[in-house]
Amino acid sequence: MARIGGGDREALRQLYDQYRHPLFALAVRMVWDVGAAEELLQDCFVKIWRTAAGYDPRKARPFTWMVTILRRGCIDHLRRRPLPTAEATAAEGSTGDVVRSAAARHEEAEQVTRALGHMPEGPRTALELALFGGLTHEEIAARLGQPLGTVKAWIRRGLVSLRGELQDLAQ
Amino acid sequence: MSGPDDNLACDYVLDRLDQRARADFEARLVADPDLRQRVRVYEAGLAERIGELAPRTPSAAVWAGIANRIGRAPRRDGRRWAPVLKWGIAAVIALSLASIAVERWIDRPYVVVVALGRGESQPSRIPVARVARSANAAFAQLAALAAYYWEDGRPQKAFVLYDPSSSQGFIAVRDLPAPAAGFHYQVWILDRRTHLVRPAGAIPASGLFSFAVDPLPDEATDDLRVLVTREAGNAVRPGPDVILGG
Repeated sequence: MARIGGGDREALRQLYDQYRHPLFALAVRMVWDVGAAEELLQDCFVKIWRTAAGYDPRKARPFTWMVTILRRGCIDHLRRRPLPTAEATAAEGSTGDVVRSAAARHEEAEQVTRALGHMPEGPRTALELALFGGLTHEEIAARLGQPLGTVKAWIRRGLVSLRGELQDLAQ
Repeated sequence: MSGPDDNLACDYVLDRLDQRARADFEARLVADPDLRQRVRVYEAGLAERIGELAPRTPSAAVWAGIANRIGRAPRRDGRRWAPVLKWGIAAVIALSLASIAVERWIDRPYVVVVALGRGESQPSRIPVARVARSANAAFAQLAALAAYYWEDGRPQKAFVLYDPSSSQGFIAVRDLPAPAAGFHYQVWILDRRTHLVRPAGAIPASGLFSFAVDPLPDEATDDLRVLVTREAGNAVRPGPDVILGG
């Protein structure tokens, strides 16, 4: 990151090569639009380029820092452009496109569901909305009809529950 | 693991703190190793969750756009692109004679990239630093971007670059087999919103080709489709023999 902050374009390229797959997957999962996700990934790395000099490793790991930049961009995008309705999508594209798009979304959702399948539905939904939905805790609580404190606890536990060694570490 | 600091650490990692709370937390973070350790736990969880998503590969256009935006000059390879440069210079001269001024204003200048293949692929936008002030400048910008894109070592068999501000484009196809006698490869631009099909010319044997079409509406560029078909004679619509489609 220090090299990037110093203007080393090759270092940025290496960072991009290392992290483009998970970051792009995150952007696609958040905005459900491959084209927009590519633009957001671009924006993210341009911002990394511009702000890397101010990166402080004591505050966050590089991946977390990059995820924060990307998620902010995705959330801005979602707030600027609400997800299209099914009717609008159908009016814009051919039936085949809509079917393909829906199939792709279903496949993605299935993968996420499998990954979080061990979690109860409420905590799982809360975590998905927190990570990928761009909703505030208050919005998630309202959507799920749960107290804010419960939702925060679900999200907190959901972030650490998969890794026993981390739980051990925390205890 | 619970308590105010755990709540804060989780909210910090998920970027849920407002600006002031975030600044306060970061001030504590740089001075408190225990707090940093709590944050690391949630960072690991965040990375793990994101890692569970199926990995996806962005198109080569993304890095090309980043490189373009951070001001990297496109790399050039005189040997590989000698025919393109020679041809490009000739085209620039021809366009100079035509002297087509492009003063079209768009919100954010961009070039559309469509990777061509057997399957359908979505067009992507590559932001460019500025709107080209003339068709000549747009062509030069496009040719430089095409050169960079081609040299970047990506596996695409073929791609199309299209500049909506000047309605011209660039197509490059690797290893296109010679068509049978009496046939040629024809490029078509499809605007799916208006259902208009624009013939964009025949691909020469080199596989490298520039084209200009009637202007497309801005909104159509996100829904652009490019086809390469095998045709005989002067076809007015794409035939059934689609070689490459984007």
